[in-house]
Amino acid sequence: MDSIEIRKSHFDVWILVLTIVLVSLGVTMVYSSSAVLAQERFGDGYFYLKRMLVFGALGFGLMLAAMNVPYRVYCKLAYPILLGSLALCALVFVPGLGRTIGGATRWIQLGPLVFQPSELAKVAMVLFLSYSLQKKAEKIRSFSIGLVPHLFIMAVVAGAILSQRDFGSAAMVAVITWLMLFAAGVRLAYLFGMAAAVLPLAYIFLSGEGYRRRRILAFVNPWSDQYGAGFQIIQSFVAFNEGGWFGKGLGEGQQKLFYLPEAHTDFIFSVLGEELGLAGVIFVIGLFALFCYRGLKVALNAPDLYGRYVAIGATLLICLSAVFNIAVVMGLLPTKGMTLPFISYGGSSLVVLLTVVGILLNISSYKKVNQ
Amino acid sequence: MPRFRTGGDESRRRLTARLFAIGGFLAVCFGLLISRAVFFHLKDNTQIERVAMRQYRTAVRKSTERGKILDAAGRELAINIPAESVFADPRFVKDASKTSATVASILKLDQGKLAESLAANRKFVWIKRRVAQEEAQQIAQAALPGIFLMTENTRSYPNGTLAASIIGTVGVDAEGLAGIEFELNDALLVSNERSSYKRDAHGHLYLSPSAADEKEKPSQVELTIDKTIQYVAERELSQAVAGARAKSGTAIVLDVRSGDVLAMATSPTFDPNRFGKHEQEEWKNRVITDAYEPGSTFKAVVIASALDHGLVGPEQVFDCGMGKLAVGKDVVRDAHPHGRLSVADIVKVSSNIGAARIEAKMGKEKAYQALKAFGFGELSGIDLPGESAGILSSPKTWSEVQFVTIAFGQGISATPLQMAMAFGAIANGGEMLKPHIIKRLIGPDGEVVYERKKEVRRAVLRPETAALMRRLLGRVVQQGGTGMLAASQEYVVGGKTGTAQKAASHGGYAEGRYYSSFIGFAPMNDPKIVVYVGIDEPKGYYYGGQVAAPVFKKVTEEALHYLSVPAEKGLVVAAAPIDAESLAEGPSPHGVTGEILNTDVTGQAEIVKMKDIPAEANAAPVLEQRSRQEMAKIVSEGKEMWRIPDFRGLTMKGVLETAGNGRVGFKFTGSGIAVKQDPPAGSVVPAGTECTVEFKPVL
Repeated sequence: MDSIEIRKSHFDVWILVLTIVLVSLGVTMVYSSSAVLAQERFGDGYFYLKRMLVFGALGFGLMLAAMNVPYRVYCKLAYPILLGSLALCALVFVPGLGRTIGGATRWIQLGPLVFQPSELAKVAMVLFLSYSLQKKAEKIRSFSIGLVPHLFIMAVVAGAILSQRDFGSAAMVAVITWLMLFAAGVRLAYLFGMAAAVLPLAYIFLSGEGYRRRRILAFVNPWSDQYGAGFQIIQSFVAFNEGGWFGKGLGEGQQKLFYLPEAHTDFIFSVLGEELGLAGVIFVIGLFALFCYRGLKVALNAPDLYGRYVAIGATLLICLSAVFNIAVVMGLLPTKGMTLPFISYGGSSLVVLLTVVGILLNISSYKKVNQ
Repeated sequence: MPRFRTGGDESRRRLTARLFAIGGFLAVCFGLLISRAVFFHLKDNTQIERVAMRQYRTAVRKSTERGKILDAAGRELAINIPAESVFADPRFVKDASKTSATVASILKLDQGKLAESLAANRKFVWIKRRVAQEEAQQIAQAALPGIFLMTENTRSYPNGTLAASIIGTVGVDAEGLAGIEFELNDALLVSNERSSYKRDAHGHLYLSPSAADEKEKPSQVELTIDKTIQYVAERELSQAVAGARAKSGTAIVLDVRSGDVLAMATSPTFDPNRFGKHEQEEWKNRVITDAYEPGSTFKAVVIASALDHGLVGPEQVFDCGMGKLAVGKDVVRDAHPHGRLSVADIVKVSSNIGAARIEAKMGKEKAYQALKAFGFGELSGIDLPGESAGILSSPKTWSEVQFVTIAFGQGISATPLQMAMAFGAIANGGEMLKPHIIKRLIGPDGEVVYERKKEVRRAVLRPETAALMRRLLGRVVQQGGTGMLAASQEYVVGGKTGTAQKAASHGGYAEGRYYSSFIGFAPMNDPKIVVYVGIDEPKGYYYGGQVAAPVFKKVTEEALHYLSVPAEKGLVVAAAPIDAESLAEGPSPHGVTGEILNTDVTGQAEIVKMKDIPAEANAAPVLEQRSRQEMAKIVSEGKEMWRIPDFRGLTMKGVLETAGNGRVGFKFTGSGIAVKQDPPAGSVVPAGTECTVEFKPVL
């Protein structure tokens, strides 16, 4: 076996630059898409912009901190973080603390601060899986050790998130878990067998509840229910179509004028498509693709398995969310609440994800050197 | 430094492979997203566009803009004047009583009614359209919620009635109602969507500064009409119509080489700026909508066809039966009895019987084919709405008498434009052209969308026949011809008179109702224009040679001046040979006895004593000259001796009218008002002496 040494080197500047560009674009788009709404709701057109800037600053602060914390620290904190985030998820249901917005109880309110624990739970899941997978690396191909415990934890976390009716995040946890198990070397037979077993369950689940079922139908043919379940996706199409190749220009979009639901969060990419056109759309997808490439490169070059798994998990957390969100607003996936990392308005998500980028940057600063 | 263990080489390779697999999966995901984004824009998105259109457009009506209409030289015939209109969206009106009080006081409206409409459960109510500028300012300053201003464009015709029957007019919502405005409505009209406002999903209007830039621009139309020539034609025509107290009149100036219509006048006409005050009957462009029995002008077409077929020669002599031709139980008459006349003289004196005999040489079928070739019974294809094709019935249905009367233009009908185009073919060497009135259509970005080209419908005459026919028609305006008053002192012209009896509503022909016309071309040796003048139901003098020919002369001269066609110097115009005795023969009222009154009353007697022509029928400046004319009478000084009056201060026409009774000849130089004469005033000269009169322009 080679003798391997790890030494501190420079972090991946690409990832930092991409993150800054994405967040700047996000701040701009949040302002453009929320000004009219904020003016109407709060009498202050800058309401969301101000908060986005505050969270951005906080997020970059935490990112800087995380960059300087050796990532192996989280190895030891895997259980506390997981249990803590599950506890926070439970706190949502404590009267006085939980906050309900738009029919979903997903937030904890502490004074002026509102926090969404499911954002943290996703990260906790990644950190826990990384810890557990590298610990069980030698026995990863065993069913009872390599697969079952992780699926159990996943079910707990996804269940906690699902209890907040956040189907998107729960699905995200499941997909990331699956991919991380795949990355860790779990037998393909188990992985695909599990996927095959889940599909019928997913079908029953999706066709069961009223609003999910309508969303699926609207996804298949939005025009069949143009003013009901299909309304959102059609409005999103309208935005992209209005934008054309180069867009109407920043601030010139019309679809954000209450046609698009959640123009500054879930459907911010449609606003971007209208104002910056296909060119802007391709640019942003390209940014995420590049981020993905750099993130996986960090994983490949990570000095140890734990670092590799955390890097994979972090990259997936950001890039898969982006892929899901963009696929939804472009009508490739059924609509569900999922934000676009760095660009959508959302304090918890921005702060947590910037911290995750900090961890990723920290991993990137280690290299293994063959002697 | 932390250390860790790996699971061996095999495990390490598997993990690396799986990492690449994840990378590949994500690459596929991103690739799918980009292709989705690109293909979304490549596919047909009309359904999506419809959704967008529906939701952005508020209930506010669209404002409109129309493209300009210009004449051949780019002068404006129809323009837009922006005006503000006030409308309300009652849903946003806050304090209805206060709002209605303020608005009512600014716009001087009834407050009760206004309050009522502001309370209506509607999204859009006009309050007042096209308000004064100050009113619009006050409304804007009041900034009342729910009260809005919108810029509307008002069509304006800066030249008033000029070319009104061609241009047409538009309705309240800027839709073309007649003429070019109607014909080219789609190209001229642009709906500015309601682009100055955006609407959000809650129904609020947002003013968008950039919206104005997105506004579509309309196309512009350039006509072949020339404003100057049009003005001359309209002025002369309306004076003639007024002078003759006629029902209506039409005039055309046609460029014989291109088929461009340079002027197309109708009288009476209307003011398109106040079209609502006029009867719809007055909007008609009679030049193309009304078909008349053309009368003797039609002989030119019949005789030209016979000449072209080589069936007759210009010197060939026909027996004109001393003014009577029996056709079955009917008798066709000439105004003046003639014995034997050459074809040339038949044209000159306009013998009905002669024309009928020439036509008989062709036979029904050949005659029909010839007339068809000249475009009768078919649309000329001019780019104006409402054209009539006239009536040319099948030769199988022609009775013997109808076949005879067709030779002098009764029993068929044609629009003034059809007649002008037929004469155009004689003038240009035999080509039947398609008439054009739209010169160019210029798109929103200044690109030429359409440009008219010369279109030959067919060749109808050999060039030699056309030239021969022109020479024959040139004799019509010479001494002894029916069209002497058409003769110009500046240009050699040719043409034909026509005085048709009008059909009565109960059948047969109406007593004392005539359609009088003159169609001619100029200059003789290289015709540039054809001018058509038609006067419908003149009262008093009614011969084409009396009421229409002077208009032809005026219009032709001014049009050729304007077109910079040099005048021919030293032109001697034969003085009219009519004296009191010849007038006494008088025009015979109509020449057919028996049940059928098919006839053409034109004949030599169309020439009447010049001073008896009503002054109103002539150009306006002549009125000022009248007192001078009264004095400038040529006075008999014994047998064949005449005293020459003072011609100075008279126009050429004035000189001819006062002294042009054939006692002396005239040689005119220059143009304008007489300044010099030889022999001098007061001298007594023998009959037939040539007087030289020099003219100078007034200005």
